[in-house]
Amino acid sequence: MDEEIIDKLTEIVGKDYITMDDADLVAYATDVLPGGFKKPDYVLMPENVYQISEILKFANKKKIPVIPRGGGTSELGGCMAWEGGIILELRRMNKIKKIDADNLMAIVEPGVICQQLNKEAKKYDLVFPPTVPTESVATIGGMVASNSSGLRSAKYGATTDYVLALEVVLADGRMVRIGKAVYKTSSGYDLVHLFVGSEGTLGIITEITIKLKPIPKYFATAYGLFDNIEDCARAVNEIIKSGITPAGLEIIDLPSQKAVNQVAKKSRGKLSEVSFPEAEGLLLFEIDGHDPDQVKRDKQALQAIAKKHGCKDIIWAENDEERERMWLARKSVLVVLVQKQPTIAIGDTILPPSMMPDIIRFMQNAGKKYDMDVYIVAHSADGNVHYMIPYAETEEELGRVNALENEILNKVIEWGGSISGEHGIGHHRMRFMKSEHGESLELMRAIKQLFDPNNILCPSTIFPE
Amino acid sequence: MSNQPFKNLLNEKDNLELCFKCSFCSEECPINKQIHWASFSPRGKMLILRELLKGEGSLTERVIDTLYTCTLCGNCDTSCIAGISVTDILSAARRDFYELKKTPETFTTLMEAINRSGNVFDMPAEAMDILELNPKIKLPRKADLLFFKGCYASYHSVPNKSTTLALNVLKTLNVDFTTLESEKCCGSPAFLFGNMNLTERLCEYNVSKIEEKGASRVVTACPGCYRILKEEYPKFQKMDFEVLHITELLAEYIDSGKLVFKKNGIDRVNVLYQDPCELGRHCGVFEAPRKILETIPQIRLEEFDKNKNEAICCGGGGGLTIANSNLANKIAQIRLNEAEERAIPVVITACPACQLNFTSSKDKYNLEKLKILDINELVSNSIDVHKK
Repeated sequence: MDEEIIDKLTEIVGKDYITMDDADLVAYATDVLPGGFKKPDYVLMPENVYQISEILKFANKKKIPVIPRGGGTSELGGCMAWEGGIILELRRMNKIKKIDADNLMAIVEPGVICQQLNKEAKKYDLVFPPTVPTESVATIGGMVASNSSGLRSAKYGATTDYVLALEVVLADGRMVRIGKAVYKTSSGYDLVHLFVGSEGTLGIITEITIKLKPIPKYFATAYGLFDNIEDCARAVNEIIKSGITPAGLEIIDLPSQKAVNQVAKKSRGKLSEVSFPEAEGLLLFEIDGHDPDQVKRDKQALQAIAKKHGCKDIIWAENDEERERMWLARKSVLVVLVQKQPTIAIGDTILPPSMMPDIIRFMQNAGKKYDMDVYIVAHSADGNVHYMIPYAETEEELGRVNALENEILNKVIEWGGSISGEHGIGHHRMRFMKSEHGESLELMRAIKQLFDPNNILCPSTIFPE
Repeated sequence: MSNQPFKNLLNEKDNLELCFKCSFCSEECPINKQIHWASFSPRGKMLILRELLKGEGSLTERVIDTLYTCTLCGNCDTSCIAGISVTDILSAARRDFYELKKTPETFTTLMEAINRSGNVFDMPAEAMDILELNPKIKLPRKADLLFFKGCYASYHSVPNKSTTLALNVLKTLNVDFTTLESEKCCGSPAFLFGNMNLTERLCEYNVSKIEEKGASRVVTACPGCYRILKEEYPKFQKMDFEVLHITELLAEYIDSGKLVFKKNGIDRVNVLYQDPCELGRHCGVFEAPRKILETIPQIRLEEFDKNKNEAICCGGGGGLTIANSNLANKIAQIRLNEAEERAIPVVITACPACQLNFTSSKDKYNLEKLKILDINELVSNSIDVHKK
């Protein structure tokens, strides 16, 4: 351990906010899921933008990797120190600086937890709409860095749709403000949205100005049961075309439903309260709004479309508890699969929604070809299809799961889709960047080079060797 | 390093391996809300223990610090969507650490005091007489109901006062009960700090003394004593008595019409009830205290935003007040701030540890308008003595 580095970093953040103890390094050596294990050399917990600026000036001079980290809920290794260096723990920067209820905006530090923001915004009847299943632990900084979206993106879009302005520290320590607290601008390049989804590779986000929305007051939530996924997907397409904009339109395949039901029966936790009705194609949909009559009309229209496409039964939630249980069942799919097999490959492919049945069938057939179980859920209004493939940690099975993932992701790219709708690239998906982006990857590299010539910011993220 | 040093943890291996690090366990963890190092979150602690178990981690001072900076409140268990009992894992590690002589000195000192004096305050046994619950109460030598006082009520003036009031209520209701003349610590601290031998010895002692009294029911006002008597003692030996918390007994008397409260014309005061972790989340007693509070005409029971199984710890559990009283006070502030923000003037508890930590936090942070009250004090003030 280099004493000069330790002394300087300690001088910047203070002795209570730097650690090199093995216990701390272990706690920062991983994210969610197997995904590898790599300890950083140092963990720092800065208090403000000025400390981050000083850290980066020094790290840039010494060419020490710096990786920002929020709730650590990523699945792709994007918040891990693959090449050693410094993890910046940003949860100490957790102030909600302002809620501007008149203009439906908030200014927050990156370490604010999504749920913490929504609790405060609720006092003004406002909400930050992107709903990730991990909202109780994920930070706004992390959501911006990976452009998260999640369960209500059908109506409310992704994080990027809500980011108005940022304060960032560049690799050389310069502090810059980009964007304005205005709803639109056509003044110059859109640097704000270059940073959204950049996964910490261009700078450290230290302040975020975001849009909020009024909290919807009325909800209608249901399971629609279909004989097959194709009918389910056709119903989704017609719903989208009909002008109704449901807040949620989730497809859950039968194996995923069965897995949840099996584990829920034995669960001692919250999961014990949930169960799926089990159908070959299951659609979880939710309509929300501010006008109860409109919600009622949309509910009837949606029901008619579902029936037209072979929906056998619709089970409506009769109260908030039932609604919450339906969403909890959906959110639990990954959890129960991990209980069956803690090592699991996850993808979040995206194609035009009309191609959903094709890619789902392709995934299922590829699973059979490689003799692997493939579980599928989809944010279907976006065409954002998630696959989950549990595997044993043997060389043989790892080989098969890699081959299966290659086949699926290459097919998505071949059909004109993207390998990630919302999770990002992180470390584990770098190998697909060239085939998805072709020459434009070089443009991305040039941008990275411009912002971070010494490649100190998340050096093993997004860009393959 | 062999796995051998962590044999209790080894029993939790399957539980540990179920964890896929989603971090939901951290969402309401009172420690994680105050300390932002990942190593102090439940997920971080489990990662560290997993490495130790694999023989790949070092048992540093920091590891010890993370493990004992925990109220063992069990909110992580409630939040874990996979149903893993994180507190079982942490408790197993505390047992291993005790056996490896890695328990922090503050806790070993306290356990030595229990060994020496039979109580956590290291007071001579006779001192219990000095602070006797109420000299005016003449108790029979034997009775069907035995009141287990606990260290707090016996040796600390604040819980002593509220427990005395509880006993007065029982007397007012003409309930026959007795106490142990030579009661010892229930063993809860030893259990929480991983010393199972001491816990078992205290269990054997107290059970034999209770059985000498011929009691078929044992009641206590301390959730720590309640949990250990009810949940842990039967694991050591067969017992022929039932264990109740005072709120369960009083709720029975309300149902039977024996306990009636005064009616008067004054405006109701809004109160919040703090579910003690050991009474609520760990033992499932949520309704009895609420029945009492809902029956008292002078008050209107409101609920904390997070209540019952999801209640946030007062900060006083798991030995945290001993290990880090500042942190314990800061955690208490979360609950007290909620009461202040909602302009609710009274927080009721049914636990001496909650009462003491809330009171200390209230004083520290100058929350002068707020009143912290033990449920027994409220019952004592509200009972209709003419309708007993």
